[in-house]
Amino acid sequence: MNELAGGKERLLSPFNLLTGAILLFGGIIIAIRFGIGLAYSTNLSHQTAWGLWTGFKLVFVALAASGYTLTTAVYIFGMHEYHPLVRPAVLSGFLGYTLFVLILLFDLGRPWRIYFPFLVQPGATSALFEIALCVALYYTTQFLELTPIGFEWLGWRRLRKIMLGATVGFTAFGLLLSMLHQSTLGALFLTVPDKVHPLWYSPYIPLHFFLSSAVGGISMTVIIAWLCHRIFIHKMDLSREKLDALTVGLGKGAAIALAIYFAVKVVDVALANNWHYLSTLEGLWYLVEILGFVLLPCLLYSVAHRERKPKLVRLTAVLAVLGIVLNRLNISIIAFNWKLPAQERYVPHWMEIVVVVTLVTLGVVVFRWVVKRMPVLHDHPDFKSSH
Amino acid sequence: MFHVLQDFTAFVKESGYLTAAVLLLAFIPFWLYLTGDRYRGK
Repeated sequence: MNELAGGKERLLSPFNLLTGAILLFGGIIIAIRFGIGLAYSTNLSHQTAWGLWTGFKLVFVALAASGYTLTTAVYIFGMHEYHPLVRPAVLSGFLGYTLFVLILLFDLGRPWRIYFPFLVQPGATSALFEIALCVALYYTTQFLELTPIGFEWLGWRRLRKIMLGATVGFTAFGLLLSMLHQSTLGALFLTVPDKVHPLWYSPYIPLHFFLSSAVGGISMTVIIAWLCHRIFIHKMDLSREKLDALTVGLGKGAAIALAIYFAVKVVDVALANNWHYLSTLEGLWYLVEILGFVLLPCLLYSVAHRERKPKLVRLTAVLAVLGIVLNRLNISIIAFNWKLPAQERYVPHWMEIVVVVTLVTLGVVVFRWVVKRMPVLHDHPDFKSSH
Repeated sequence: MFHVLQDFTAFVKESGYLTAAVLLLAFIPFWLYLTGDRYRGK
C-alpha cells in the first residue's frame, strides 16, 4: 500500500512493474491500430460501426461526472462541507475526459481530422457537433478549474488568485456544458431507433443519460475518496470520521438521483407499452439492469444513509458504478443491433479490450502521479488559510 | 400480470398530470424514510 501511495520511490515496485507492463503492451497494440488500421485491430463492420470503444466513451464521460456533481454541490448549492472532495473529484473527472478524447482518437477512422467539426465542416444541427463542442469546452473548463493546484505547486500566487476568483463562473459554465453533452450522448441513439432494443430505446434517452451521469458522478466520488483515504492517508487532511460523514451524505444524494432515474425508466416502459418485451431474454437482462443495478443501489444507499453506514455506501457506490457501465454497454453494444442473427452480432476484438484496459491503467497512473506531487488531497502549506 | 401493466400504460398515457402526481406522492414515503434520522436525540 505504501508503494502504491508513492511513499517509497522504488522504480521496480510491483505497482510500477504491473502498470508498466500493461502500458507497454497496450502501447504496442495502439501502434498496431494506427499502423495497420481499424479493420485489423477491431471487429467493427459496416453493420456495427460503434463498438467497445464507443461504449467506453459513454462510460468514461458518465463516470467523469464526478467533477460537475461535486462542484455544483459546493459552489452552486453552498454545501461547503464537501469542499475537501472537490479537487480529487474534478481531477478524476478531467482524467475521465482525457480517456474519452484518447479513445475517440483511436476510434476515428481519420483522427488527424479531429478539428474538422470546428473549422472545416461545422454541422450545427448534428448531435455529434454539439458533443464535440461541449466536450472540448468542458475539457478546457475542467483544466482551468484544476490550474490552482498546479499554481500552488509552482508557487504562482497571483495566477492562482485570479483562477480561484473565477471558480463559480467555471462551475456554472461546466454545469451547463455537462447538462448539454451528457444528455446529447444519449440523443445520439435517437438517430438509430431501429438498432437499439425498444426497452433501452426511448425518446427520453437524453434524460436517462443525464440522470444516470449524476449517479455515476456521485458514486465515483465516494469510491475515489475512499481509495484516496486508504492509499494516500498521509497526504489527506480529512479525518476518517469526517470522511465517513461526507460519504453518508453523498449516499443520500445518490439515493435521490437513483429514485428519480428509476421512476423515469418505469414510466418510460409504460409510455411505450413495452411490457411484453420483459418476458423475453433481452427483457430479463433489462430487469437485471433495472432491478439489480438501479433499484437495489437506490434502496441500499437509502438504508446506508439512514443507518449511517459509510461502508455500505461505499459498497453500493461500486454497485452503482457497475450499473452505469452495464447501462452504457447495454445501449451501445448488447442491446444494439439486436435484430441481427447471432453470428453477425458484434463481439469485441481482444485488441479493443487491451486498449480499454491500457487507458484505464493510464488514468490510474496519472491520477497517482498528480496526487503524489500536487496539493489535491491536502492544503498546500503556503496556502492553508486561503482556501 | 400483463393486463395490469397494460392498464397502467393506458393510465399513464391518458392522465399525464395524474401520473405525475401519483409518482410525486410515491416519493413521500421514500423521502420520509431517507431523511428520517434514526439517531436523532441519541
